[in-house]
Amino acid sequence: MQLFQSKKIKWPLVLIAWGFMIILLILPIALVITQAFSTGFSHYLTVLASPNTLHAINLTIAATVVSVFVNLIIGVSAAWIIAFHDFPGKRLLNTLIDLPFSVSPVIAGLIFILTFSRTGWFYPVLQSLNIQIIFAPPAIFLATIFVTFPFVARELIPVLEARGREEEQTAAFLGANLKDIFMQITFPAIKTPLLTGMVLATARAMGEFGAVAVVSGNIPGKTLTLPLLVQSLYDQFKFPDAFAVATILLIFTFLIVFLQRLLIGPKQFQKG
Amino acid sequence: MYIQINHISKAFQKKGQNVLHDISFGVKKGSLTALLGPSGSGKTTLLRILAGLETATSGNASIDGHAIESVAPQNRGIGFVFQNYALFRYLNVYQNIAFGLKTQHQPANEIKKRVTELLKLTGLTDLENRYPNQLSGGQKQRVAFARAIAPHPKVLFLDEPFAALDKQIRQELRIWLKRLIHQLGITSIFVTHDHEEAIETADEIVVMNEGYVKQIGTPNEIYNQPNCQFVAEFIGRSSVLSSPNLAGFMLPEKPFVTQIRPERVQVLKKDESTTTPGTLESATVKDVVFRGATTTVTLDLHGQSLLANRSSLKPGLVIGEHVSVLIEQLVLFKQDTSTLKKNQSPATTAAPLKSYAIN
Amino acid sequence: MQKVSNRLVPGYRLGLSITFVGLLLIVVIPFCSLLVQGLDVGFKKFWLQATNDRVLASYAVSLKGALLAALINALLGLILAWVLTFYQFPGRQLLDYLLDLPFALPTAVAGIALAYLFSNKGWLGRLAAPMHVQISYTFSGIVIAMVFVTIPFVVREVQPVLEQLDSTYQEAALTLGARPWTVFRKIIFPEILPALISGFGLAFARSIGEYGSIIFIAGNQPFKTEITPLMIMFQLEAHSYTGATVIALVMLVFSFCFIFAIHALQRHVQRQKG
Repeated sequence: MQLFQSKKIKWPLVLIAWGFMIILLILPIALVITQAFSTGFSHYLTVLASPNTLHAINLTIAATVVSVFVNLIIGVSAAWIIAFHDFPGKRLLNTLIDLPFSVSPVIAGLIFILTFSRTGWFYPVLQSLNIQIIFAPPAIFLATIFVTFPFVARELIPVLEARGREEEQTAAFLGANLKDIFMQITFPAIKTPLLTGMVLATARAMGEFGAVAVVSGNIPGKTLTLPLLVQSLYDQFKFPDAFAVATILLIFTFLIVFLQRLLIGPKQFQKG
Repeated sequence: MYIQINHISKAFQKKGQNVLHDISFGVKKGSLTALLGPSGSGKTTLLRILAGLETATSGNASIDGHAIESVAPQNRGIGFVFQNYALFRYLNVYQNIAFGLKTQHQPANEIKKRVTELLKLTGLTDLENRYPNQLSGGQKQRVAFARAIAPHPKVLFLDEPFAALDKQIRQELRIWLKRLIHQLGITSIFVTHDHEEAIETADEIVVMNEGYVKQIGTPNEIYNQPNCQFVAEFIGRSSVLSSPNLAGFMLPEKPFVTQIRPERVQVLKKDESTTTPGTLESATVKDVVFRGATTTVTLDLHGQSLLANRSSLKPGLVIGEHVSVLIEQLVLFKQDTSTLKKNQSPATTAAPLKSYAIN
Repeated sequence: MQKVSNRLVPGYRLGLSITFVGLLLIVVIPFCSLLVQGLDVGFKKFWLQATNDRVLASYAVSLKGALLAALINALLGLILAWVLTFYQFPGRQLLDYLLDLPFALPTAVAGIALAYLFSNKGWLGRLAAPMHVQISYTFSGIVIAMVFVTIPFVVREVQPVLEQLDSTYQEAALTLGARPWTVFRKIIFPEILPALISGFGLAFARSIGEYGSIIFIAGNQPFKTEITPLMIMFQLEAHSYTGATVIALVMLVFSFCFIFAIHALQRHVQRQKG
């Protein structure tokens, strides 16, 4: 693009880009790190090792693992039938799968409150079984599953549809069963989109805030995930502590971005 | 018949039109049959119905005496070669060919024996470790073929097997396939829209159009004795003349249609003559196209266009030139209200023109 | 004849069951709870809750903020995509990597970082304080948070289009003596407009529903810096499920209409391109 390479055009634009990068991307990250250590390294470690923090780490990881696993199963199943079979209501299915994407996280939490609250459908059943969902980890798991629902399916479906059904049909024709077809024919072709979907889902699950904030009840030591713990500490004006916990999430974020780059290569990540 | 098709029909779900109308015919054991027709003729649908990839609305079929409805597609003993080969991208050539044997749980050494034999048969021995994306179109085709016949199927179906190949490869592979299928003696049906391919390769041709079977016969029969205008026009090149006034033929009342093959038309300049008996017509040259060994001449015969083949070794023609034309034979179509019939009358003079009474 | 056709590939019943059950439990039933609850409310009460003054103010804040943020993103995102596609400069790779961050970063972390950064004691807020300009706890803070979270949407939509631009048109224009701005306006901009609209729509939609990154920097002053998702949260904390439901349904209806409008706009632009 020779046309636009003149210095008068290039450098102002580059400066704007730099400015943006520094103000909105680099400074906030730097702030988190410096504020986390602002009261000393030992205080930092104390915060990280505190029972509340450890519990939050456990809960966040548990919710992440459960939701990614569940959505992996459902995502693969949905992609399988959408790509290889014809049935009425496919469009509806696609829309329903995408639904969690377009919903505000707070609404995502709200719908589970409504479903399981005292006036909800399941209350009598749960009451009798003495199971608590709302304001307990199960609700957190459900809300997290909801917000990460589309990720795996959305990566798989375009890839499988573009690839066509012929290899799987041929394999079935030659007498292969479901396991053989999946392992030998389909899986090698979807390794990358599958991993990509899982990485995206993991990022979202770990960082989910709004939906979990609604359903968790914020009970310290019981229903605080890492993001909620960050909020709790910040609201109590314990800024260094809040940022310290935030660094844990930051580390995971960097890992995830790094993994993404490995898998997809630069510039192709454009999901939200 | 080894493969028997009885009254198979298939309706479109939405439009209420039929993709296939009451198709019935049989295929002899060991025969290489072509389903020939333009797109939309239903030929691929019919093949896929036989294979179990689609369902018919009514009718039934059997292979080797077994009704196919009662058997799942993978158990019908059918080998299928798809148009795009559908080779397994993440398996190499050996694994692709072995696939159908592995699903049958054959012992490993048996599989190795069979695959090696097939690799040799298809000339792919050096390629067994390659992956599909490292193969040429022709090689992929041969792998697809080997994979289909590896599990000793009773019948072999091929869906436009050469459509994706270059012309040169297509012709080589055609010959190769025909030879191989005859060598193996496996009953085969292949679908094509290329009439040359069907005529060159098949033992028997089923011509289809718009969901109907138009004609069944050997390549010779289909070519020289088309039973309707569609078949006549679809196979090879020809001229179609409406109610021409041709002195050398006994022709019925108008209206009627005649189909004339260019190789059956001799063009004679003023000073040329022919030893073929028959009554000549007068015509004017409209166009001359050099095609290498032959030259195609377009003639104006009583106001209608007539194509003729003329050897390029003979003296050239000029547009506007007046010539004599000897039509050796033609196919006549006289339309009734609902059926197509062909009649041809013998020549009146000393020219023994061939005639075919068909139908 | 047996139903064989597309059931040739196995796994249909299993896949359908899993998908069906999953969707039912995770998406359909919870969503229906919302609809049922909403229908239960009755039109008059619904209207009262939906148009309550404070709630109305939150609509204004959310809508204005999202609109402003999406517009800023359209411009800024275009510049970023442009610079990444056409120019070499120090820090280019870093910028590319950093643009993945807002997608992956937990919103709460972004929230507290931005709130602190732009507060009067923060590194950037401190710079603005002498001019009596406050960023955190004002509308500007809300917009900044929205921009942060949605900047990648526009960039990643526009980048591929810029990369695949056919340079022959620009070269032709150049040989005819056109100035860069004209070339941009007449040749390049129409090509990227659909991507810009798409990115704008995504950014807007996300900004409206965003919660975690905004509530820390917003200050949450009633009638001034409260966003609509926060209203829902308040209703829930006050155990007013109906109030929460009403506002949620208003948001959903709006989103639905908005998506529809954006698609219509995109189709219109596509048709114009011919």
